[in-house]
Amino acid sequence: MVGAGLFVGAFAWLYMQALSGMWADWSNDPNYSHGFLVPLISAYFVWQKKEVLTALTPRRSLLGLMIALGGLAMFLVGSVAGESFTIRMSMIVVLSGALLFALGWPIFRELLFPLAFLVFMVPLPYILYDTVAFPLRMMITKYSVEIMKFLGVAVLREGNIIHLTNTTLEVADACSGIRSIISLLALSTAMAYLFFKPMWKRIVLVALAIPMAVFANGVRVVGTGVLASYFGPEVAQGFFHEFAGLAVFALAMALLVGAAGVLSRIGRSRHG
Amino acid sequence: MGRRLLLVGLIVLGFAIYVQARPFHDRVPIKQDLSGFPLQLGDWRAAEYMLSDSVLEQLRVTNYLMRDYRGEGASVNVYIGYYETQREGAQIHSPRHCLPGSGWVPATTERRVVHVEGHRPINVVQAVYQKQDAKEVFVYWYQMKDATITNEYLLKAQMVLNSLKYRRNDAAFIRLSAPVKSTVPDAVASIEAFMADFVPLLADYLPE
Repeated sequence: MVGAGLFVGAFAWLYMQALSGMWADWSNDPNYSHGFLVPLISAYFVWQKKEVLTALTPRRSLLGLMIALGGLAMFLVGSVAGESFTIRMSMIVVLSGALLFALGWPIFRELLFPLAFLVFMVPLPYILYDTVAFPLRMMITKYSVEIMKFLGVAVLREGNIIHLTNTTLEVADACSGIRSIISLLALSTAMAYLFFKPMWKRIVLVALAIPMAVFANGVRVVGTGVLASYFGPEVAQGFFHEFAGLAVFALAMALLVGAAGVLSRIGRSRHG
Repeated sequence: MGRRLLLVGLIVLGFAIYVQARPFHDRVPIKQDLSGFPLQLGDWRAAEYMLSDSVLEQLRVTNYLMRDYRGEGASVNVYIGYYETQREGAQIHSPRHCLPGSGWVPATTERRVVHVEGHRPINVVQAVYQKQDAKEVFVYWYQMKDATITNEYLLKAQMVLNSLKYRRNDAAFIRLSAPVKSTVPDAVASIEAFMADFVPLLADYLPE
């Protein structure tokens, strides 16, 4: 008990800044508002296994100690580089190492997924985020404009700016789809873990999250463009803009749930 | 199990004390405020620009300079952003991303070395961006201590290195651009002509 208390205290002290920074990101950056849910979902996964976990006897693994030390080294590199992503990831590594060291492999194996799931709470580093989000945003703009042209809307593209006859729309970072990609990846991973046993089904469901998010965002851009060209620029701002964001996420989620439904029918008699 | 957690706890605690006691980088103030940068450079005369609050909010620079220098038949836009220490959110952004967002599409990008007399060779990225019929040549580089860097990943590596070696990770981003009025080599020549007057002054502002 004293050991656990000391560990939690020291851990919290070391990562106080990283944790509050992450909290701020979740609150301020709409790309990461799902971050609040991730630790809760992880905790739920652990709680679900409480019987299995209490039935197993704790052992120890020296490898765990090595991993924890490796995590601390990671923290050092992260602080030196001013790179919060590395520091935040090291938190998961240190925690995993400590648990493995204190509890041993059999229990740790059960905890592995909930621990790994925590990765979704860590915002991507800026460099990587941009490398992915930017081309994605350009791609979505490009294809949406093609579709709008096909639908007979007079439209012109300039970078990620869409010129309509009566207004100009900017496909901003939020519309790149990366916001929904990361939230949907987290969601589909949780769903895959809860509902499916065979690995291939899990992988298929998680992989589907990406095209679905991209598709839903394309629908949003085209929808906004078409509506704005008919009803004027007000449509693209204010309430509709907010509403469209939610609707897009709902659409992507519906697609995901649909896919899960289809997957659960495939080979049900054999795999369950 | 409790004993083992106690051990890891003690290790983490010791580490936390060590980390708290020894900050990894100091703030390195700029030598002189960039707003004091000469408005007249050789034959070049400057018009000053302010960045909007929303842009500054994004960049979170410690000190910056944004000017248009006009010379004979040529004009060169200058941006310098200085960070006295780089932390999360307050880090150099790559122009690879902000330019295309506003409709400027990269046509060509190359890395090269520019030689300015009496000065160390400078590694730069030279890129031509296009927006409809307009073309603009950009020459930019990152400067950390005495190194000129053209790659964002190397910039990170240099940050680690400088923090370990000198306990600092301050950096400057320098970007020069000129519109292509006739040909690209002409625009490049204007930038290089400007650099001959401009680069020697940098040492008075950016810490080494």
